[in-house]
Formats: sequence, structure tokens, C-alpha cells
Amino acid sequence: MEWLGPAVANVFALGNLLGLTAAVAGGILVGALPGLTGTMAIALMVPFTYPLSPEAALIILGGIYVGAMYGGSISAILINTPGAPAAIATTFDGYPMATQGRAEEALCAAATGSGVGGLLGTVVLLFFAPALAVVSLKFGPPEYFWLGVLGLTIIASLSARNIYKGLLGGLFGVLLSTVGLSPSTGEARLTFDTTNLLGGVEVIVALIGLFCVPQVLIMAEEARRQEGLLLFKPERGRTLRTFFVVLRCWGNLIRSSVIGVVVGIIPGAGGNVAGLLSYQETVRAARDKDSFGKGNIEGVIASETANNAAVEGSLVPLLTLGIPGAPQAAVLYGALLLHGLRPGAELFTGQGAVVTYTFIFSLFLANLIMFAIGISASRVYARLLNLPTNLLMPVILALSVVGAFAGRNSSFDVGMMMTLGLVAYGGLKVGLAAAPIALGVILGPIMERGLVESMMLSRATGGLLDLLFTRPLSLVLIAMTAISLGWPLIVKGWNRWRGRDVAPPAKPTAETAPSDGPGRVAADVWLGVPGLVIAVVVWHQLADIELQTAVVPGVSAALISIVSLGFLVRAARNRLRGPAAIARPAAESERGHAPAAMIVAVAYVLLIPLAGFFVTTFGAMLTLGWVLAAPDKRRRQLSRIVLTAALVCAAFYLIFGTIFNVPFPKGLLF
Amino acid sequence: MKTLNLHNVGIRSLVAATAIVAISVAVPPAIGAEKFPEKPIQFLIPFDPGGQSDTAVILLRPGLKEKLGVDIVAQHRPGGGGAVGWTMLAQEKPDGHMMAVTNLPHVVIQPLMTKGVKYKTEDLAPVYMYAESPGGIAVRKDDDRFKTLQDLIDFAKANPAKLSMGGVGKFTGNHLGFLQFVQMAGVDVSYVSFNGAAPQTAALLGSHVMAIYGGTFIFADKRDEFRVLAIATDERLPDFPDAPTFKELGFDLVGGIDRGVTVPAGTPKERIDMLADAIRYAAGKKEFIDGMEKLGFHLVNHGPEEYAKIIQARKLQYLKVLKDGGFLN
Repeated sequence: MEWLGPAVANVFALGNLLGLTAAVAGGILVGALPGLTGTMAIALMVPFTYPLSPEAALIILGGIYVGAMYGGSISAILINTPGAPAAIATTFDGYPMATQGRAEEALCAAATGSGVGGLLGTVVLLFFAPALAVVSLKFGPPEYFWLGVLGLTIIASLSARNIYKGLLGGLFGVLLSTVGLSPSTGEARLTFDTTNLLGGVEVIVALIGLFCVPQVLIMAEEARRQEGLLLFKPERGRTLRTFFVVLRCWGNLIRSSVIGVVVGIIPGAGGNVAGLLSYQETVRAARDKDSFGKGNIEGVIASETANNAAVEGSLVPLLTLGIPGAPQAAVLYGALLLHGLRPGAELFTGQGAVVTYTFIFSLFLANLIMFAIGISASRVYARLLNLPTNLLMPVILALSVVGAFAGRNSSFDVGMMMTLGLVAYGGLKVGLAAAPIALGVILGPIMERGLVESMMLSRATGGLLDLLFTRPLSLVLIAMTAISLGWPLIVKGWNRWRGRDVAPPAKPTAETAPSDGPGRVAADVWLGVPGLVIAVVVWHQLADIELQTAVVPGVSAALISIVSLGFLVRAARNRLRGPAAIARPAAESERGHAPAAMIVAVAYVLLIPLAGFFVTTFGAMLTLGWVLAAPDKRRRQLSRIVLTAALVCAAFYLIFGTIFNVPFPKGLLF
Repeated sequence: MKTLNLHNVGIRSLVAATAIVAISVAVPPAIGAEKFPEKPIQFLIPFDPGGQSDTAVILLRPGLKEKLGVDIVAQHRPGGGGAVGWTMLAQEKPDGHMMAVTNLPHVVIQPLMTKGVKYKTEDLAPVYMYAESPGGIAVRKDDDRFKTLQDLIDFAKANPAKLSMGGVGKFTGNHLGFLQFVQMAGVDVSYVSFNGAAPQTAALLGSHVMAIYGGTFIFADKRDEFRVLAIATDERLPDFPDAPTFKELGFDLVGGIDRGVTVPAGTPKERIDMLADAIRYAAGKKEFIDGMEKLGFHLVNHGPEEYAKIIQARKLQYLKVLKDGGFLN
């Protein structure tokens, strides 16, 4: 215990305290900006922390990790876009809360949940790290496969009344995730022989496209209707009240923390899987399941508590075994080695222990700082909702471009983001939500790797089925999957047996738009035909490719074709049965300014390679600011639009270019 | 309407300006006549920030900047196991203002084996090779079945395909080393490809595979848990005095991942030499050597000619492995 004194002294050294606070604040900002992720920020900071002492370096990098994990919730709640993959489940209830004028509550819940999850996670890390490290080694290839499958069953509870559309979306997401080199065989698939697609579809690019772009277009639709409408009205004492509301959900906080830590410990799973699984469990444990997805604060708590608990979870195998539990931890691993620190026993004895425990203690403080910033700034963030759409919407669009570009310095990724965005927007119109697609993109690789590695391993162990279905931990995961899929049926059966009334089916929500009426036939056709086309193209691409490379995309395409055929059959039957129901074009008022915004957005992305980021962004902001403004107020607003555009471009340059040193897309001219 | 008009005028002048730029690019001034380097040098890293190649560049940059007198701008273009970045390098102007971290066997194997890869090995001109990561075979220390490499071979001979060995990827440094080993030993071993060194290490720690063929840098970390049965170097490594080389055991197996720097083919020789001198200087600095050794790299210093010879020799070696294994005709 001789490390205790020096470690505590280190944490409270003034320089370290200041560094930690700045790191947490910077991490929150990075996390909140879609496209800039904690992983990226930590990696970019490694060279700057290299000259510092190992303690100071780890304190700063850990602070960014913690801050960024919470920061992702801010954009998830305010603009329906996960700022980082781990905040995806936060959008499910966080954004509906914001649209109901409860943004501040959602933000407080996120900050409190993150803080509690992080603190409990740190306690686990401090006392149980070596004992829990063993858990991380229990996961072999078959377990990863089942973990991926279990995660994908969340689609069923996300789209309860639209299970086939959810399934179609999830499969499409899995398919997207398989583009490029197979991680296990190194063979290329679905690349159409192009080099750019060899790199595959980055998760973050997919997330921005799937969430940000449709959101921007929906804002354009609603621009006129919401003219002068304030979405957020500040109210005294709401923050404090929310804080106590969250603490009263202690069951949820503890359950989500446990799920977060355990999933975090599993190498390669991390905060995104933790948030999703904990959301799923919270829905299952709740009485009023129908309120989820419509602004239930418990959903926000579950997701955010778990993903911050996963931060500390991912450090357990890193510090004890030298195996990072998450991508962020992988970058930290590099930093540890650079400072001459070898994870394992060395980190828990002698001089190494001082560094390790300084780091762990600093995580307590990092979580407290994050909580303090989050709680006190919730009201400030929430005010963003009251910005006029014609000024806010182009900023989000520009952020999407920077974010999509930043990961790989690739203009191709910007185009990919916009393409996926338009597809997702079209999908929304026919009742296909973005979340299942995103789940497929995130969980597809975990499942595929598990399956293909199991196939390779089964050559030695004898029999793939034996390998997949006989290992104890696999059986647990299979049982969880079965419960997850069958739970609604079990509940129904139980209630019937007890003679209770079965709840009447809820009315379709806005999200599941045209599930009945004349639009339905058209929607089914719009889902079925592209689905079949995609399946045929995929099969064509998969010809002459090794089984292990082709199995996951091939099976996904087969399932897509079955579901698509189902939609087409249903469409044909409804068409024959009912009166000719042909798609009626959406009324002018429904579409609002979306078509114009779409044209500007596409032109924006196409012009960047010519004119560079800043000139094009300035132009796009002027055009959108003008188009989306109320026609009678345009002239009066002109100076405000120009001023905002100039300020935003300057802010982009300062924040991204100078502080984070993120590159911008360059054009031929500028 | 005012704004829209302005916008149109903007586009028109943009088009005009594009034409001017296009013409000026099409008629380049004679290369080599002017000063070099005349602007910041882009250092392309075809992998993610935070990875091993990135770390090497972080450690090289200060020395390079000192020697060349211009900024060294790190540019990450990950994707396709490096293929996206090397394709970009191959298409770059050969004026010495862009260089890239380059790994063998990747740049030899990808053009041969991966559909959609558009660059050729010859499109990249060697500048300098700074490190090797040799491969080797390790098992769990508490696995009494395999005390020596011979135990492993005997087990594989008695139980064809029953021995599982984890590696990273296919047709990678690990996998090619593995293929050479099984070809030389005449055994049938089941290869399981993991998605990186961390999952590979975890798989052996968790006993999901019986052995791994991996980089020696991961063995250094796991001294207490792993037993190293053989290493693919010419001589024993100071880090592992007890681990024999394959050569000692009668297998002519030397290799792993060779790490260097290349520029687009066609870059003038004097510029390549200038860059090589700068890297030699940067790679000789204490910070670089310390940092790289902590990460488990095995440092070397090969200039352009030697590096070119190494690439040639490796290419022949890999072609033979692939042909013998039936992967290439």
C-alpha cells in the first residue's frame, strides 16, 4: 500500500488537476461533435502527452476517454445523432424527450447516469480488476458470435410492431459492415473492384449518414411549421429535481453499471454494445414497455450509465493482461508502452503501482468533473434547440461533413455519408428506421468475426455445430438470446394464464408511419424492390469467393431477399384486395423545404472537392439560411445569415483546425 | 434573390479558375531544378492513429523536421489493411513531398492476392527501412504438452489438423511465416485468423487456441504466461535468451514484418537520398530508439539500395510460399 500516499498526492497536484479538467471538458466537446470520437482524440493527444510524466499522460488521456463517452449523449439528445457510436441507444428516448421540451431533463439524466456508472465502474476497477480479468478470457470465437446475435435481437424490441422492417434494416446494416476486406480471410468482397471500398464503410461515417442527414432534412421539412416555436423553456429547479428522479431509479443505475462493466471487460465489445444491451434489459424489466422509444427517462439512464461504466470495464483487461477492452483502451495501451509501462503484474507492484493507482484515482475525479460540467451546462446545451432552424441546420450539415472526413481524411467517406443519409431519409418515408441499420453496422463485425473464427477453429476441434452449441458460456448467451426474442410471448402467455386482460395494441407511432391505408402498398413495393435488387447485386459480387469470406454477406442477402419477397407478396395481395392504392405524393406542406435542402446538401458535398471546405460551407450556409427562412423575413434576416455563416466558418477553423488539429477537405481552388 | 445571383457568379468564376489550375497542373515545371524540400512533407500513414506505424511516425517527426527544415505533416489514410493509403501514394506526384510508412509483406502480397488493389509493388520506391518485427511460435507456459517445437511438431504429426494455431489475418506476415513453418515441417495445422494482435493474444491466454504464430513484440509482454518455442531471426534475440531460432532447430525460416518508408516511383534519386539521410538521422536519435525498443521493435538501418534488395528477396520468398501452398499458379 506504499503507493497510496504518492498516488493521492499525484491526483491532487495542481497541474494534474488542471490538465484533467481540461481533458474532461475537451473530451465532452469531442464526444458531442458527431464524427469526432474519443478514440480519435486520445490518439491525437498521445504525441502531446509523450514528453509528460506517465502519470500526467494517463490522467489526461483517461479524462478524454471519460468525457467523450458522456459527450456523445449531448448530440444524441439534441439532434438525434449519436456523437459517438456508444451513444446510439441514448437517441432512442433522449431525442423524443427533447422534442417534448424535456431536453434539460434528458441531459441531466445522461450526466447523472454517466457519473454514477463511471464511479461504480471505477470502484470495480480499483478492487476487483485482477479477479474480473479472467472473465475477459472466457470469450472465444463462438461466444463473440453469440454476443453479436444477442445484440442484434434488440432490433426485435426496437421495432415491435414493425419487426420485418426492423429485420430488413438490420440485415442491410450487417451487409454494409461486410463491405471491404474480410477481417478474417483478407479477401475483398462487395467492393466492385474499387480501392476506396476496400477500406469498407467506417462505423462513424455510417452513423453520421444514417442519423445526421435525415435529421437535417426533417428539420428542413418542419422549418415552416416550427417558425417562432420554442422547443426549450428554462424552468427553475428542474436540474435538481431531475437529479433526484434519476437517483430514485437506483435499480436501473445498478443494473446498467453492472452490464456496462461486464461488457466493457469483454475485449472488443466496449461502450456501444454495453449501452444497447443495458437498454434492452431495462425495457424488459420495465412494466410500461410501450413508453420506451417515446421519451422514457429510464432509457437514457440505462444507455448512458452502461457506456460510462464500460470505460472502466475496458481498462480491467488492459491494466491486468495488456488486452484492451475497447478501441479507446487500445490507444491507451500504446501510450502505456511508450512510457515504458508493461501491463500485468508490473503495473500493480512497486513504482508501476503508483502510476496505476494515480490513474485509477484520477478516474474518480474525472467522473465527478464530468458530472459537474454536465449538470451545470445542461441548460446551456438545451438552449441550442431554440436556435432558428435556418441557422442551426446548415451547421449540423457542415459538422457531418467534417466528421465524415476526419476519420480517414477521405472525400470518398463524405460522399458515402451523404449517400447513406439519402437512403436513410428515403427509408424513414417507408417506415424503415435508422437504428436497426446502425445496429447491424455495429454488431455485424462482432458476429461475423466470431462465426468465421469458429469455422476455422472447428477444423481442429471437429464440428462447427459442436463448437457453437456446447460451450457453457455460449449456452448462456443462447439462452439470453432466446429469452430476448421470446420474452414478449412469455409475458403474453403468463398474463393470459392468469386471466388478465391483454393490453390492446398501441396505435402506430409516427416512426412507423404508413403501416396502413393507401400508402402501405407503395411502401411495401419501395422496400421490396430495392431489397431484391440489393440481394441480387450482392450474390453477383460474391461469385467465386471463398466460403468464409462470403458466408455472412451471402446469408444476409438471402434473408433480405426473403423478407423483400414477403413485402412484395403482401403488396400484391393488398393491391388485389383493396381499391387501387397507389402512392400519393406527400403533400407540399409535409415535404416543406426538404427537397430544396436535399439539393443544396448534395451540391455542397459535390462542390467541396472543387472549392474546398470553407468556401463551400459558407455558400451552403447562405443558401440554406435563405431558403429555410420565412419568405417574408428573408431580407430582414440576410445580414444575420451572413454573419452567422462567417462566424461558424471561423469557429470551425479555430476549434477543429487549431485546437484539435483535424484536417479539412481541400478543394482544387482553396 | 441577391444571394442566389452572387452564388451563380461565384460558380462561374470557380469554373474559370479551375480551368486555369488544370492547365497549370498539366504543364509542370521541370522537377529537380528547384530547391527541395520547398514545402511541408506529407507523411502518409495507411493505418489508424494510435497504431504501431503511427507511433513510429510520431517518434521520427522531430528528427525529420530538424534535418529537412520543413514541417512533417502526418496524414492518416487507413483502410483495406493499408491498400487505400499505398494506392494513394502510388498516384501521387513523384517529387518527394509525400512519403509513406510501408510494410512488408503487405505491399508485396496485396497486389498479388487482393482483388481491387490498384497499385503494384514497383509503384513504391524504397527510401529507408527502420525496423523489423520478427515472428515466432508461442504456447501457454502451463501447457506441458509442448515444451519444445519438436513436441508441437510431433503432436501435429500424430493428430493431423487437430492442432490449432492463431495468427493475425491471412497472407499477412504471421500467416506467411505459419505457412513456411507447416510446409517445412510437413504437418497439417489448423490456422485461425484473428483480427489483430490483441484478440490473438487473448485467444491463447484463454486457451481457445493451442499455440500462436505472432510478432515477438507480443511475447515480450507475456513473458510470465507464454513459452516461446522458436523465433524467425538469424540469431537469438536479447529479449528472449532462452528461445531458440528456427534456424537452430533446422528450419530455414527468417522473417516477419519489415517496416520502412517509400515514395512514389519516379522520384529523383537525389531527393530519395536526401529523405533517406534525414530518416537515418531521425532514427538515430535517442528518443526514437528508446521509444521503439519499449514497443518491442527490432531496429535496423537500411538505405534505399539495401531496402530495395530486401524487398526483392522477400518477394521471391513469398512467391515460393504461395506457390508451394497452392495459393498462386
